Amino acid sequence: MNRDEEDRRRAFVGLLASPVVDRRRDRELFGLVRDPRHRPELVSWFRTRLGYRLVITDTAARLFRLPLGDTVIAPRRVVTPPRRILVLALLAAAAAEDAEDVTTTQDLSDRVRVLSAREDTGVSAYEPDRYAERKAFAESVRLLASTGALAPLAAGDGDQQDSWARRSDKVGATYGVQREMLLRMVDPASLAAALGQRGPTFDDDAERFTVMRRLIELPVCLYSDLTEPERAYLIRQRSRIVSWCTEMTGWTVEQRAEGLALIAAEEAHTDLAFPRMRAVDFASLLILDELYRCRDEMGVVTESDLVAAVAEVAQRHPKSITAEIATDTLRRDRALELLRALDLLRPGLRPGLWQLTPIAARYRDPEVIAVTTRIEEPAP
Amino acid sequence: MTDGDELVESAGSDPWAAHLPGQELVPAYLVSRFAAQYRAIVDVMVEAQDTSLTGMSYDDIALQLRAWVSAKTGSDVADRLMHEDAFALDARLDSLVRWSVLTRWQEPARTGEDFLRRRDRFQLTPTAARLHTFWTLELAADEDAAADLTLAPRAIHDRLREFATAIDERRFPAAASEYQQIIALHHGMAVAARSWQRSLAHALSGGPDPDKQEILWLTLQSYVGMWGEQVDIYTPAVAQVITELEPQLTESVWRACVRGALAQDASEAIVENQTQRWVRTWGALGGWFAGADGQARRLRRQLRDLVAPWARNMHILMDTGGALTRRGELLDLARAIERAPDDDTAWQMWDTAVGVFGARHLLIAAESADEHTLAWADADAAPITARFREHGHRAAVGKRTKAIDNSAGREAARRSRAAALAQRRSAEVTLRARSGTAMSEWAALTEPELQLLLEYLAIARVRGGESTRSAVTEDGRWRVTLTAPEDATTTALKAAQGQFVTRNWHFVLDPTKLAAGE
Repeated sequence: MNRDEEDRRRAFVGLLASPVVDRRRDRELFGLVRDPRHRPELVSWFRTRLGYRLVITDTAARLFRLPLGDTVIAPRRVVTPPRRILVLALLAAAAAEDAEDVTTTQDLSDRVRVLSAREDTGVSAYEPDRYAERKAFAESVRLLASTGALAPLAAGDGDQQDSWARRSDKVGATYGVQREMLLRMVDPASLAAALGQRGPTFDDDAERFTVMRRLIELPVCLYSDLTEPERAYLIRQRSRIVSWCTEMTGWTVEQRAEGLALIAAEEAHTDLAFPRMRAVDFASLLILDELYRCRDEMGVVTESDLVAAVAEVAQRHPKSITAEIATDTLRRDRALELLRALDLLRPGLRPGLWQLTPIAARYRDPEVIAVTTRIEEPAP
Repeated sequence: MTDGDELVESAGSDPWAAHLPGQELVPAYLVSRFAAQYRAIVDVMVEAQDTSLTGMSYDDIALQLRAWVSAKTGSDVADRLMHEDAFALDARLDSLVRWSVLTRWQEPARTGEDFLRRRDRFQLTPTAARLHTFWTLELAADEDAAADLTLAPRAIHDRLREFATAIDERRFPAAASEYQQIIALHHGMAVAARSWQRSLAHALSGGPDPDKQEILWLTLQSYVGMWGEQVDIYTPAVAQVITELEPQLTESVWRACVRGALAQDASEAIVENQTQRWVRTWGALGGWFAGADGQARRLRRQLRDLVAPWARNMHILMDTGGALTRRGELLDLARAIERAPDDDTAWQMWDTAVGVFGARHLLIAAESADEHTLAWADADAAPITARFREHGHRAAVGKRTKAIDNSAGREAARRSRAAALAQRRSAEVTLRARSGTAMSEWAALTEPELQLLLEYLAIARVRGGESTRSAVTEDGRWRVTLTAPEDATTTALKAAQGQFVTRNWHFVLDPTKLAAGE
């Protein structure tokens, strides 16, 4: 493989992991994406294989994950913060349109207060005098920055946001308003899809897009999740699809009877690396192993199996338990979050039942290794 | 076919019309229901003005009109349109005459034949001709006119220098000729600038749309292509000439110039009139080029400031469907998210709309990943290790370590030592009381007494062969002397713990000098 191909893969994988690439913050990746040797191929690859649009401007690159029908294929969120943050982020974006080129958290907060108080805005009023609201607002500004609409001008804005939420006399973090990205934050087609205003759309390439998106965006693409035409397409074109994936990512496609999974080469290439050396990951892995042992032939386990597995881990590896997962309930909830996010476990057909997906089998019988922590002594 | 309902006739009169110019019917042909027909006629008439100075006859009009419509639409369509049932040329011409678009007169009849044919001739009125020329003038025509002015600032500069020289040398006719060229150039620039200003004002007002962007782009191109840079280069030079020349241009000099341009016998009124116009133009030139904030530079700045935002907006407009604000959409989404049934749905809407998330994948491939006929459960598991950090007891976590407090123990030890010493002292006293006796005579011993006695026996143990042994205690206070009994008898000393069997020693305990000295 030559250097160009390697660079193109890095650009592609980088865009998958972070669809907004700011020229200033991520100079190297931006350079790769914008490089005239890679740019046309990236744009056409995203368009023809995934139905996405890659827009590259002077200051940023943005991958638009356009909806298919009215959905976007996205991995399940691990934790779902309250939606108030989303509402405030959108209000802040609307307010940022009128703001100066350089703005602050406090400035945006003032503008949002005015905006949300207007009757025609139609959302519940923002009350910056309450700590909970300020905290949510600080969070929402950070979320907005992640879309590239705001660019933090100083490092360590997170700390400033936190102190801003606590103290009303601070200005908070400073941001440059990226007007192009702000206007492009929401694609019209995506917006219509999100609001359910999109009429029926027909795409000749819908099968290819669905299959490729499931492979490229999700932990696993199972035949059983596909519609009949999609499944037929995947079976017919399996080797081509596998070679496409390998061509652009350089990763391994694990092909099994139940489906395909694209296995990332490095932890940085996925938004949720598993298993990391964290107590939650360890517990989840062993709970999964326990569940795998007591599944029935359909891969179904009951809630009591789950409870037993949760208790078993604590009993067998008491030294692995941290305060974060100290109780059975905490342990169960955190493990469920993680396993469901990784699509290893899904809710069963009836309440009280859980369905293991076929990829759970790749995690059976993990080798358990204890790492002794050493207390670091200060150097003399 | 009547034209009675073509226009809404106003009833009553407007009081304003008594004082100010009122209703004008010339443009009626543009707003009539049959405007297409009228405009075609007027188009033909305007075209004919280039070749005919004496108007057109009815037959000429009919002929030319057919040719004109055929050229635009094709002969089949033209035949249908010009058919008598659909088109009454007579009535149309009558209306045009009534609206003062056409004037009609009759040729005199010279022959008998003339009496049989229509002798009407038609000509456009001056107002109608101007209106229609203006109306059909394309926007690009302004730009074409402006294109002739590529070097206008430079030309103005050159002419101004010549003008100044001529004034200096009192060659007024020559000065007048130079100045007339300046006037023409200035007029051309003014017209071009006016068209640019018009385009800018239109493009910058209201909400932008792709058409406006197109106009703006054309304007910028023509401006930059024509005399954008020239303004910067020649403005200081022009301004300098203007400043130098200003004091010389008195009323009489202007008049002399004007007279130099006119015929000898020109009337005073004409000279006066022209002088005023020339002075006005001079003032306008000053306003354009002199001073740091001259109009020419200001226009240039205005256009330059437009380039960057324009380029930016052009991209965005293409992508965003012509909107430069997304506020409405963002608020729509905010409202929808706030009303979502639960947080999961809300986040799903956000992801669908914004689509900013990272892809998620599993890590660590299993062996022979391409065996696609094998189920995951039958294939090799991925070589996953479950690592965890050992966590030990956490009892001391968060507490400050304290120094051990031994004071109570030390106090207890001190007390016990004192008690032991007191017991020993009292035992010494009681044993001293038994000094000089044989042990068989002794009464029962207390525990401290026994302990002390054992200690003394250990010190003064009699070795083999000796009958008496004497030794001093370790603290040097007592001399113990034991003398073995002659009959080698033993005795049993009674104590609290039991009996102590030993030889029947003769026990002497004497204080030493040290003890005596205390």
